[in-house]
Amino acid sequence: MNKPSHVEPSTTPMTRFVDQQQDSHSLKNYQHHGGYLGLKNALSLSAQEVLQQVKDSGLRGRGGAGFPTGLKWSFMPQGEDTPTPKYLIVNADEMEPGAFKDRYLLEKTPHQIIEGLLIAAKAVNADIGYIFIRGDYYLAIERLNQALQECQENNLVGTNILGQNFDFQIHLHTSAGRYICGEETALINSLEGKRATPRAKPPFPQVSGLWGKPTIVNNVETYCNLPHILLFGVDWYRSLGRCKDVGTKLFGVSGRVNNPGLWELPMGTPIGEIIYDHAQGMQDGYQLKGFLPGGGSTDFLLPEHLDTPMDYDEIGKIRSRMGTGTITVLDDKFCPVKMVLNLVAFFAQESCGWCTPCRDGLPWAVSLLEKIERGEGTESDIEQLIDITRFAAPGNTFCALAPGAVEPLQSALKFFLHDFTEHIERKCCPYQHQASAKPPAQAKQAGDDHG
Amino acid sequence: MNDHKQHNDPALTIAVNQPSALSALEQQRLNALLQHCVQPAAISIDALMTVQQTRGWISDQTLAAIALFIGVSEADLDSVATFYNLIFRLPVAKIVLHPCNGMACQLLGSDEVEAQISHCLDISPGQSDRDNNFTLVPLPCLGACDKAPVMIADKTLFELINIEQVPQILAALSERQILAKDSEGRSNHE
Repeated sequence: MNKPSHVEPSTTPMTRFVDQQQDSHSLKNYQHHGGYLGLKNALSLSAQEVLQQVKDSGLRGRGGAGFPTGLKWSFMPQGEDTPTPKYLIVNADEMEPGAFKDRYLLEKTPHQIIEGLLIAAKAVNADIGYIFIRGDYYLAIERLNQALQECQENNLVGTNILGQNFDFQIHLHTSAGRYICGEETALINSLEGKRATPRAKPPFPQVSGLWGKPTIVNNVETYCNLPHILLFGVDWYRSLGRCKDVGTKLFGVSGRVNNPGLWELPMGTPIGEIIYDHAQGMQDGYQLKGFLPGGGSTDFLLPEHLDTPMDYDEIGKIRSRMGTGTITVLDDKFCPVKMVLNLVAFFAQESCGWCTPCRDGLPWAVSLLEKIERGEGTESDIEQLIDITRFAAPGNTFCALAPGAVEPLQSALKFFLHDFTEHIERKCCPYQHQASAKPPAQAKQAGDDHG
Repeated sequence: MNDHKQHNDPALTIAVNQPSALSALEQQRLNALLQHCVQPAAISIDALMTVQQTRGWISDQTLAAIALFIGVSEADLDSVATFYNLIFRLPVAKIVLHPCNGMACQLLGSDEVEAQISHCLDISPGQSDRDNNFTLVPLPCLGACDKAPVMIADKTLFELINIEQVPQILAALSERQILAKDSEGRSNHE
């Protein structure tokens, strides 16, 4: 393998060059740390060989669903008589409540994303790439534009990339803002200039996606894994996990912990280790009441689940989802009804309005939760909320938005039912006068020390 | 919509329901978008965002002009314009304040921050202040939960905000607006 001696395999491949480098986003620094060497390796292999490496690596999609990446790619039709152009899309429309990992990668490592995109393009013979980025991510947009410019100047995009007879165009699309754009078929509609309503599947985008052409959509973090798999090899990558799932993952914690933040850790790191070792536990005077393991559309878990490894299947066994891997901690001084209300109100607002359980069910849940939070709820409101979680269950809706929205609701009704009934019995929110916001140290503008 | 006194859309001085004329610069930018698209309707979102950059918001007349220019129906374009959070169909002030109202920020006191902004400017969410400097439009999770509570304004992310700092932040933003205007004036003069 042709690489400088200082580029060694690391236990934190995606972020190893970030912490010590203020300008880790520049091409110069990225290349100094081995950037684009994975691409060079990929370009020396056949498409089939690159695809096989990604399959063998065991990489699973980091957007939340955890679908095996290589398998997803293998559904794209290949061969002379298949439609062209073939599209690859980077889903950088991070808007899941509580998720803040893609912003970090976009701002700190734009070249890592582009390299991953180019490697994926080689594997599936794609012609055109789109990076679909959230419109509010101004710094990330600026840095991606810079990075793409650097790629233009250094023959890393366009035609005959690195003289290897490989062509690939990349466009940056700035979203006008809507959570549903994160759903891959809604994202495709949005790229076509339409309202971002999801499409019926099948046909799946791999067969008929953007403009009816074969299209693959992957999350930012998924792409970021690829350069390292191609540079350091499948065996090394598989050795990184602490469980059945392989590789590393950005895990984060927010809420009333001592050290909120983001860390690249092996897959399978136990939840308790993330909350207590890395986030340094709860702030003084606050107890851990529960947590969402991976964003606003995952089921609540309890302190008794802290030993569970962050692993798609293990979290699934305790009836939640690893989702984005960014944990949100609920403390004992914040009203669980209010937290769920915030989430369901968000999903109700962001519903595209296409199907009834979502368009009508979620606002109905919001009005019931508001009533309970105001102290005007009744026992039958709780029964209605439970009904709504069933109406909006998977299989009853067009896409995953409403089923995701009711995940925190259904688990809150299970784990924090006492809090709901207390609101009803006491005719007020029992938490209202408890929350005394401890002001954070100081406000500042986001700078390079973010994360 | 025409009874709004504060606006920066010249279209409103033209007869109602007449498409407002797109400036040469706007036409140039839309043509650049049209050059690279698979079909004209594909630029709908980008076209709205591009024209909004110069006008601040999208009035009915502006929408009609864009629809005419790119060759899509007004109804289709409006269905797109009303779908997305960052396309404004009502006038906004010079700076749009986007405090995060997501779950993680709320856990750390964003309700109080938003209330303080409302109090300082004497406006509710969705309104602009008397001087037409600020419009308050809370947005869901801004993806900086480890720095909660946060706000985006004038393309800048403000982190770890507490309510005591809200007046300072607003003053700094006003100041920046004045400076930007001054330098614009100077460069135009030169």
